[in-house]
Amino acid sequence: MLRAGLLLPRSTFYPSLGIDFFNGLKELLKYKQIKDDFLLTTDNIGFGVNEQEIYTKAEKMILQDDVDLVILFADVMITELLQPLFSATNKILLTVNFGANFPENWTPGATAITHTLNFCWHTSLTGELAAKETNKQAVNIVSYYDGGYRQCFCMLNAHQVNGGIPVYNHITNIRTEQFTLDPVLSALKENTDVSTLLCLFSGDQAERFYAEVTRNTELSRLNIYVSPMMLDEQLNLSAGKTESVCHVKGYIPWHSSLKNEANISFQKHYNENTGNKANYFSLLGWESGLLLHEIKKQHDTGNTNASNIIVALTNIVVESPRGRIKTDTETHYTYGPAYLAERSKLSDIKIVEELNGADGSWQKFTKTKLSSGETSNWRNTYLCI
Amino acid sequence: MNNIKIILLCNNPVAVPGIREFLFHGNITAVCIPEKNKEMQHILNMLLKDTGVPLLLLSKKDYRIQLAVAIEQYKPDIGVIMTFPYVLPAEIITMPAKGFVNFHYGLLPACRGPQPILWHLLNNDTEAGVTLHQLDAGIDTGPVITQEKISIAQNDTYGTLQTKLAYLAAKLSANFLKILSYGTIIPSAPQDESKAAYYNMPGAKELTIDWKMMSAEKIIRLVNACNPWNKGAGTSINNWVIGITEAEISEAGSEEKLPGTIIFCDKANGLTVQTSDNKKLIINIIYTNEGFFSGWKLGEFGVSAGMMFT
Repeated sequence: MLRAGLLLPRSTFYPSLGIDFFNGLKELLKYKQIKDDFLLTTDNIGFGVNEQEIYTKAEKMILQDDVDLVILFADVMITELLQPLFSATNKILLTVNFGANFPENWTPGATAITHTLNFCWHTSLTGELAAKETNKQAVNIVSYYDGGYRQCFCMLNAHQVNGGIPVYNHITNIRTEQFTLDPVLSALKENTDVSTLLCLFSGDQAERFYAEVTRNTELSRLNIYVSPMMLDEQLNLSAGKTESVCHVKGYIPWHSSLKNEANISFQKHYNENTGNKANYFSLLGWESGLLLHEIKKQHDTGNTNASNIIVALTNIVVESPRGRIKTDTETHYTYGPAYLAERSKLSDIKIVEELNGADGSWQKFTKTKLSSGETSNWRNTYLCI
Repeated sequence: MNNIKIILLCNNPVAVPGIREFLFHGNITAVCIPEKNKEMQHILNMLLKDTGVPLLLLSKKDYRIQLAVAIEQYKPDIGVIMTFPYVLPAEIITMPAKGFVNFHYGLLPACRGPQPILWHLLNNDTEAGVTLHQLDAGIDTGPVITQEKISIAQNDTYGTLQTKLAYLAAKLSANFLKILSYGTIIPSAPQDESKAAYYNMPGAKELTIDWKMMSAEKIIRLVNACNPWNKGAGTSINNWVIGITEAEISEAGSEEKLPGTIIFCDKANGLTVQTSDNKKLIINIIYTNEGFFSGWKLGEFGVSAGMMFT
């Protein structure tokens, strides 16, 4: 039996995040009939901000509970601090998050693997697409919260690297009652050539954004390029004057409508056993379970050395609900397909196409570096607030 | 950040960003350097001014006793080494409760020895890095706590790479302080001896260009590896030894000439030399006993096209 420690986050923003993730993981273990092969120990790490708490809990799991691996739902900044502990004790550190940040140094620890939904890569692809499809000039709109993650840098940087020109930047107030797009409307009046918005929102701010856009034809007629959480099926959207939002586009890692067998099984099993619809959080849990399954297979063949297991994982492809998941040899980051999605009506998201050449695109993305100079970002795990 | 007390031993400005990090968090109780190192004395006097942290000067003859006395007096929890030329005996290493750790400015176990930055460049490695390891009786052989790598850029000199590694060490210092503060153990893993290699200080031959054997790229690496500390890679012409401090590769040679042959030596074309792989090397800066000059100014010393470097 393998012992796995889980350090799980909480979120008041998305209260079901931790439990959906855990359910996704548990249901996969049941689905693969390997539930009894794992002893799971869980602990809570809040919003993923307190380094000392996370370090202490991870160390306790290793030294006292003698786990074989720890699944840590937290952001990349924490992982760097923990890698020496895991390398030294030859335990696997499986870091899970949404991929809304990328590391300053992509070089992985020998026993570390990072599983994400690759949001930074997707926003980067979306920024590039916006520059290629439009007349280059764009207004950037981000929420105060979403702007504090490197996915924001990725979208705006990719847009500019590909010839895009930022004409105006607007950051919305975190207080819903003070949310306004009036400065954007003023900027559009002064810059009549602009036909593109680059947008990063999540949760209620995303809902508020769409409500404002559908209320105003000056906005709804524009090409709107968005982050993955703005194409999240969980958003509770209510239209303003019109349901039509013209051209809302963006790259996303997964959608419930994907027709592959793994996705159909995932949603059916998850829904039947939990009574809930699958979402990004349960998907992350399910996929983490798939990785646990692969780790177990390695143990079954006698490969019990953590760093050798990670090497083995870089040589296999996992059939996931979002398609084929690979583990990058250079970075130990997992990545899957990228889908271009379009929201032509508020209630209607369609997958337009799957990105061709995803491997090369991913490799290129992992060369991304922050601009030189001082930077700042939120320290909590994305969506854990 | 924590109450960890550190005694820090160093001998090179590469340690400065790391020392700043430890000073910022208020962890250093004393800094020790060899007494003969006047440059570091000057730097550290400035750095430690108004901090209350003493600078202790150690002699080569008595450093063991001086260190033992300092550890007794300042009672550090741990000793941190960021370049130090003297070997510490086991009885000193074990004096602080958490022992000693060493910041090695190279990748272990593949690049042990006193000049890892230089050897990463001379070996044409694509990556360099900083390794933090626990000190044991051997040289650079202790268990590794953490290691971080960076790519070596094509135009990296010894100096630019050293600066990058200095700041990388500062980042590792910050993380190490957290590990010391949060954890109950200092995590470390033994080095893989099958991948270990030890490099001594390079001799004159290793720092001299072999025009017959070395490709243009290899010459550039050697030149960069010697810049600035050795003033350049050694070569000679008519028994006159000079250093090549900065050079670049031009287009492929248009005609076959013997490696080392000077093709041009004038202001318009610069100092251009044939290499063994039929490329032209433009030598931008040279060092002589008379000073640093643009390469083509060798002409003023009687050097001309057709002559050969050997």
